[in-house]
Amino acid sequence: MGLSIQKVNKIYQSGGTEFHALNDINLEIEIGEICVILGPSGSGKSTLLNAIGGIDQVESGSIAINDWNVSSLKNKQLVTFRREMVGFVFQMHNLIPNLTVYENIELAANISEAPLKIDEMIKAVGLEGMADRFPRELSGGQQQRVSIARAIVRKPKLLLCDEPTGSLDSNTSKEILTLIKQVNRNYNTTILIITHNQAISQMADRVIKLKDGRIDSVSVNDTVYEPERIEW
Amino acid sequence: MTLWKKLFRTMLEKKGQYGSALLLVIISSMIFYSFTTTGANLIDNLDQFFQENNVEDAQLTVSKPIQDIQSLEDKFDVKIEERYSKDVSLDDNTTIRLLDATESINQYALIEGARLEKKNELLISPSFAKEHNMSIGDSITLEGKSFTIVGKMAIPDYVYPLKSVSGFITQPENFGAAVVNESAFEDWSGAQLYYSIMLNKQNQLALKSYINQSNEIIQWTNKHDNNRITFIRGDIQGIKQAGETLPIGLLAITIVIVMIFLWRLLKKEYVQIGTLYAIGYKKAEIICHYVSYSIIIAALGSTVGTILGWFLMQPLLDMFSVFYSLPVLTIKPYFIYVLASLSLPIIFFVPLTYFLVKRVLRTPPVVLMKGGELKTKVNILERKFNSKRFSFSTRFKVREVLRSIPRVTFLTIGVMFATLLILIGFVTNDSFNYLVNDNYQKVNQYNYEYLFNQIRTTEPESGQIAASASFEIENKDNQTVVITGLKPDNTAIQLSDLAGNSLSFDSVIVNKALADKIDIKQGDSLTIHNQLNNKTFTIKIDHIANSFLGDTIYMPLERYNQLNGYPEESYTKIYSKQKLNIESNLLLATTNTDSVIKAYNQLVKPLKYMVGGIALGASVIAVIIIYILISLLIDENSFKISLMKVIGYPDNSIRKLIIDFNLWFVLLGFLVGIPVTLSSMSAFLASITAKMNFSIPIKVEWINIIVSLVIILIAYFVSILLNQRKLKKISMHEAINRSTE
Ligand SMILES: Nc1ncnc2c1ncn2[C@@H]1O[C@H](COP(=O)(O)OP(=O)(O)OP(=O)(O)O)[C@@H](O)[C@H]1O
Ligand SMILES: [Mg+2]
Repeated sequence: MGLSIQKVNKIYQSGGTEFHALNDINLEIEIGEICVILGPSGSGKSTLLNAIGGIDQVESGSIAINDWNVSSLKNKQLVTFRREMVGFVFQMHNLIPNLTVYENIELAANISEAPLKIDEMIKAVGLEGMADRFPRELSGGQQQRVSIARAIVRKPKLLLCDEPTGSLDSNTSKEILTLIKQVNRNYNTTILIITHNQAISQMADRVIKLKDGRIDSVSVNDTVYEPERIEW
Repeated sequence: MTLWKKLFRTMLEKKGQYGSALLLVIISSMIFYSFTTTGANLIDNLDQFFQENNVEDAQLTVSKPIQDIQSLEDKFDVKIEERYSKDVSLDDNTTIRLLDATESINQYALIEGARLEKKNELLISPSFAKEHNMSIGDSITLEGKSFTIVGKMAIPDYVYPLKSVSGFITQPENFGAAVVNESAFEDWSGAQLYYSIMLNKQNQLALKSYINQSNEIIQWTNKHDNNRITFIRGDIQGIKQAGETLPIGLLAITIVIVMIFLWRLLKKEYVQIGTLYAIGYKKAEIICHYVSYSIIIAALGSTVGTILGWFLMQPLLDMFSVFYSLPVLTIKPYFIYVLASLSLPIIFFVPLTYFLVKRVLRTPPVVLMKGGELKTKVNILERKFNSKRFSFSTRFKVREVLRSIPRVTFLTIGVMFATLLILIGFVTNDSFNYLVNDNYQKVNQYNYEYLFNQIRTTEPESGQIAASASFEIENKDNQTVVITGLKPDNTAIQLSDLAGNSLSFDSVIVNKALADKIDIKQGDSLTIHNQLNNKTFTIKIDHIANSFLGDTIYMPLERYNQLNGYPEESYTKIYSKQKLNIESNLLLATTNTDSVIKAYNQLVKPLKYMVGGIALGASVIAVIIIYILISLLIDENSFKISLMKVIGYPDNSIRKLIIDFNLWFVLLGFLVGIPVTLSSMSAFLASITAKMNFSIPIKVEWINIIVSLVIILIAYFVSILLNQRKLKKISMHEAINRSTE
């Protein structure tokens, strides 16, 4: 059980040439872990995350999460998989501008069988009293909190974060990471975080380094720090 | 140069959208050019024909032949010519009217073949020849005498070959005109003699009373009351008017579409525009670049459309000239219309797009470089709307609508226009059907109407007597009207008021056609002038009848005779259910209602195809408009759609939330379209029939409204289907990679 990735290859065709974005990736991640993915730009981090989340499909190999064999799912099943299993948090600005905070979260809750209470979610991410605001009336950090609330309102087993603090200052980043840590603790959610910030790996149970589409190294941290205590 | 490459690349990327806009311009230019030019050519040919061949100003029938034509002409400065006419039956249902070849008034024009030379030669009207498979060289036998058809002709007083001057439907399979030499009439008895006159207005009254001193005018028909002469002009005017207004509506819609394209393009390219500035492009060059998009669509569309219009004009012209028995003397391309057709789209497009681009470029380059103002503003309505009473999907959809009010408004207007186009055909069809099949039949309960050429006093063997003549109404632009005197117990004609109560003939009744035209109400009084004997009298209107054919007033026969100074119990008309044996030399005209209705149904057969054709064209336009708008909607919402896909919405739930609510606006457009069509058609038909002696009540059958609705719905679903792939193709990466909407 957990997340198991075996011999995964992802090849992009562009202009007649093939590009190996993921090359024979093997990876095991356990339920409830926080896992940080590091690597230079273009090393395949986002590609890997999208494949795990069922946004992209891979050429060969298998990706399995709990009972789901993601790599063999057809389009319709992938939709169901994303709906039942995955929450996404991206870098920035991916709230729908003409929906209020409440409604942005509701957008995700709406297609879930038993979502968490939206008002409680808003409280939990520290946005009490802002339910009726529109995204442009929020700061970057506050917007990212809404994203997280939207991602976890359906109690996903897997929370995939692609550079969640990429455009935030260090204090705000810490607050967001603390929130993510809380999610992990409260719901036992498995969390994958892509980052360019080496320091963030201090809060991870497992740290994966990618390079040129291959796994460069996997290490398990002995001491895991609370996000507030990370040294930047 | 590089900018041009970019322009074509952008257009090719969105070929569905730009192609559709182009198609709309082509269609509108094609309709504009072909219809206006056909109309103008027909009218010009008609005018030229009337002038060169001396169309009469009036025709009159008198009780005894006029002896001293020459002295009358001199005395009143008019031209008078004798006209012989004789109706000969070819078979039970077919009558051919022989007219003599005149020398000065109503000269015939040869369309094909040779001019008349011998006594046994004959020229025939083309529509009749076509209907009866007659060709030049054939011979036909008329009352025992053999004639050779030597050619086809047109005569000014029969361009619209009606059997009676007050008829309204030509029936080429039942009736046609032919011209023979005057000498052919010498061997015949029973030819009618009447007189064609070209006069100047001032002398009309004097001339009439002079003739009445020694003779008696039985009938006097002015040119503008002669449907054979006037009808065709109204018809053509209608074609021309439709050809002018419809394309302009279409162009207006297209320009809005193109503006939306450009607006979107500009927004997407803020950064590029800012960069172009930074590289050193001048404002004018950038404006020129973006305006080029609309210039290309306008110029290409209008050129192709005008060329196609030219090719469409020829068959249209052929069709109408046969239909009207009109010689096509010259075909002109009408450079003014070529110019209008070519430049109208550009005149429409360029200034508007210029202002649009200019407005956008008012934003300083630095702001542009940063991507301009993000489209994250919410308007007041969106802000005000915040009710948790509704379900999420309802709230979501309401927000979508509030966010895109201009687009849904435009969608509504577009569908309304398409509905108008579809319904025009149906309304025309249903209105004429009502007029003839319903109204005409209900009002005219007789089968035969015999009009005598003399006032009669001897009681007829059978049938119901009546009297009627043409009068002028004073102070109402001298509107002419037929007044029919009926016995109070008459049953040949049945009238009801607008509420449906039947009316009896002991009162003065005005029909709706006339009441609308001169704008009178129940209780008003009219001063009537008798054109034949110059008597004037006043009558009060007791009722208005629900009847539309002919501008007619009905009154008791006794009072009619008394007011006009005619003998008591005299009459000029007999209505009968059965065919009567009346000597034809006593009669001016015979009308058989069955053949009128049959002729009408014959006439509307091609109309049905036309209605179908118009509906088809309109639904194509509807598909294009709805397709473009839905396609734009998907483009504009691609970020949202992408994000929803990531979150786990399947494609059809996304469609339900983002696209399907448009159906309500399609339905709204349709509903608004119905009254808009009815009122604009009623104005349109009123303007056409203003100079004719009937009006057309606007009617549309429920079934045809439903058919139109189905067509609109099909257009909507086809557009959705065409856009389905576009929705599918939106990648989830868009939500991930794009940082701004
Ligand atoms: N659609 C595509 N077509 C072709 N190549 C692609 C495509 N998407 C990604 N790539 C390539 O695959 C490689 C991996 O991309 P990926 O987005 O996974 O990198 P990354 O590690 O997330 O980089 P960054 O840290 O900059 O986000 C890159 O070299 C990229 O150019
Ligand atoms: Mg990345």
